[in-house]
Amino acid sequence: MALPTLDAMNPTSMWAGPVEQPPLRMAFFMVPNGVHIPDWTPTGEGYDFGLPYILEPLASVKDDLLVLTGLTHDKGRANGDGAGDHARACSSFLTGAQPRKTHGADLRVGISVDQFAAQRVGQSTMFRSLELGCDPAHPAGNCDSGYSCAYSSCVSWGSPGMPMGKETNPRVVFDRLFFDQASQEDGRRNLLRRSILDFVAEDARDLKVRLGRGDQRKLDEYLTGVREIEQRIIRAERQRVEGRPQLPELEQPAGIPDDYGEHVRLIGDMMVAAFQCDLTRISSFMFANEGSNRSYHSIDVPEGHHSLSHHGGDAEKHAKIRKINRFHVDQFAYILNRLKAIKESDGSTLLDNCMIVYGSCISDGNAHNNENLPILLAGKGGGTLRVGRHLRFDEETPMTNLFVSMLDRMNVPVDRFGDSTGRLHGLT
Amino acid sequence: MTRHILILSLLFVAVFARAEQPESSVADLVEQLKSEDRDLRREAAYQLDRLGAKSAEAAPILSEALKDSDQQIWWWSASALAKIGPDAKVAIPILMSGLGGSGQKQYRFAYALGKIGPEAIPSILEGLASEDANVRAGAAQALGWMGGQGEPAISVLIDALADEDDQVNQKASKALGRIGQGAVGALTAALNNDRVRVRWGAARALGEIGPAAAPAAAALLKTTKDDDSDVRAVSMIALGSLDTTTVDVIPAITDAIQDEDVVVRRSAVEALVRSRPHSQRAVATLSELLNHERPEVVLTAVTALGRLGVLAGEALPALRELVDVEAEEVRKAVNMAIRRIKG
Repeated sequence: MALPTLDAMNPTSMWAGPVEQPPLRMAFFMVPNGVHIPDWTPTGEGYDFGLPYILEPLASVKDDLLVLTGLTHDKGRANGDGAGDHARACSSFLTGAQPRKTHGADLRVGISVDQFAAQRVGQSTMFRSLELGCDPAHPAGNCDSGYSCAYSSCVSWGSPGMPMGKETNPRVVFDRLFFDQASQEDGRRNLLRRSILDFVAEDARDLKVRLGRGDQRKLDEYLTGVREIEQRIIRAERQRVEGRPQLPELEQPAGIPDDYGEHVRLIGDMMVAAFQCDLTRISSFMFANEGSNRSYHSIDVPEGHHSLSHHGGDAEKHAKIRKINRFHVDQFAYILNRLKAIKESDGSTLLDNCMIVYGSCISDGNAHNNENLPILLAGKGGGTLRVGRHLRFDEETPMTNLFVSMLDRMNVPVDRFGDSTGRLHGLT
Repeated sequence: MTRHILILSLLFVAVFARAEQPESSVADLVEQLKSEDRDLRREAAYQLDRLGAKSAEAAPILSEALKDSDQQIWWWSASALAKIGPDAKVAIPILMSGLGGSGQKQYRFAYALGKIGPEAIPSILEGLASEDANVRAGAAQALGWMGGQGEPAISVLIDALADEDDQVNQKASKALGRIGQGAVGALTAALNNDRVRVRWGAARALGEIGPAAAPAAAALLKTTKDDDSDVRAVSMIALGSLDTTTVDVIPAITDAIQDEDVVVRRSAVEALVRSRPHSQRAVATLSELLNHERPEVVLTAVTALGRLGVLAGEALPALRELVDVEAEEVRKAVNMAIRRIKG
């Protein structure tokens, strides 16, 4: 079982020398169907901006993020290929590339920024990257007017023709991260119905007596966090057995109640734990597949998200869409706060050493436009980002310019990525 | 469970891990780009773009392909020409003719011209004299993509700062900022221009240049007292971007905290943050401003102290005296500032 970085692991700390700088992590969160832009875009600029309705849940981390207005994904546009906006925009979100319109095996878009970085820095960690989500990826089939389902269900692409699957089952993610292969195979834990922590309890006790007080607290917090995640998974599985609302494994039709928020938070927690233990430094997370028609009973929105997003200017639909948008942001705020609560070996927070993009590949769900995308960049990038601001960029500034700037910070400098034209100015 | 993951992974690999098709030669792609079949032309343009500078011999046919009605074909062609760079000069006339468009076409054509470099400057200067504001804006943008190589166009860009079209004015300002250090002298002189939009554009460009614009510090200090509030605001941002040890910018910034215009006050806060750690010297003055008679000045001073974070530690006692102040906005700001200062 992996451990977080403890002071005792840092050989320089006992000699009062410089503390090693924590690694930089990056993640990409995608929400489907665009957002209600008037309730997303702050009115002020620079440091002087208020959080509009959709972004209000981010109040506690406002000083830890940038709101980026005006970025464009030209490759999400039709550009002569007709209908299929959702799939096209989704596949271009992290690639900045125009997907070939096909639902056969001849897929082609581009490598995604997370995988580009993972292929270059991923060897430093146990997992090169994590690809996570709440809806399963579909490798084949026609999902959007002639575009393959792979385009609308995958944001991570290992190569122009290779969509990465994604993991949606919290149990599988948990076991993959925290339970070693041999233990899984002999099935001891399931057989005895014991916690993973029971197996490491003795080792943890031995370790604890050799640690300083600060490390002891850090270890306790970490093990408590793992225990909590495990118990939530067990609860979710129990609910399933008892016929309660199930975690979505298949695309859900509109109107079926579920515990979607908990699903997001649980997988988010595991991403946080993976970053905390340096099991990986790169992750992607799809709140739902693009074009999702999920309903949101928990916030009194029983209609399907995609159906609502074609609001046609209807005020009632606007109100429901912004509720969904805010709900997504609320889950994201939860994850950011978890990152912020974790102290790194040098006294900074885990969030300080992250660059987390959150956004949608479509601006307005009704217009299906790909300019002025709703984008956030959270975390201080190891001190390289001047956060707490709202930045506005010129028309047509490629979103991929942001990726080039992020890759610089990940120590993977490139001249171009996707349709980039340079670096994004003003982040520092 | 493990078997389940393995099967899924294998399924993905089996379906998608197709070998990339072997690359065609440039000559083959040139022929293919002449095809009547749209998909074949698209593929040729895409592959030529992937080849980048290696496709230089295709520059003439790529130039023609800029006129293709298919968005993807002209886009890939423009992108390929940008990667080819100076050897794509044959494309200059057609790229110039596309600057009159808007959106992506203007953006990408301007980018390609910028990457072709100095050979394109004479044509671009003609574009800056066009009657079409879109062409003028695109031309200014193209010069910006050249960076320092755009220096021969500095004086024309300074003239373009006076353009009545906001788009042209802004893109000229940005281009001068991208040209960088070589433009500092001309921009400094432009700060004395009679026309407000020229002074504004010059100050904004100096702010984009950043630390290398330090020689403009004295002139920028003057424009922080400009009659026009927009000029004062951008001058303040520019001052905050300078890495100057010879000119003390802090008094000008603390003066601006008391400006009548809200945008200037906000810019002063931004300048203070940009000037860290030197701006710690402003803390005493800012603490005094907490007792100012105008509430908006108090609010700005509170915000500024909070934004300075731990550097403003000595202001904590003065801030604490305001935690129960009646005005809700100030009270909230004070509490936020204290939290920020305490880290």
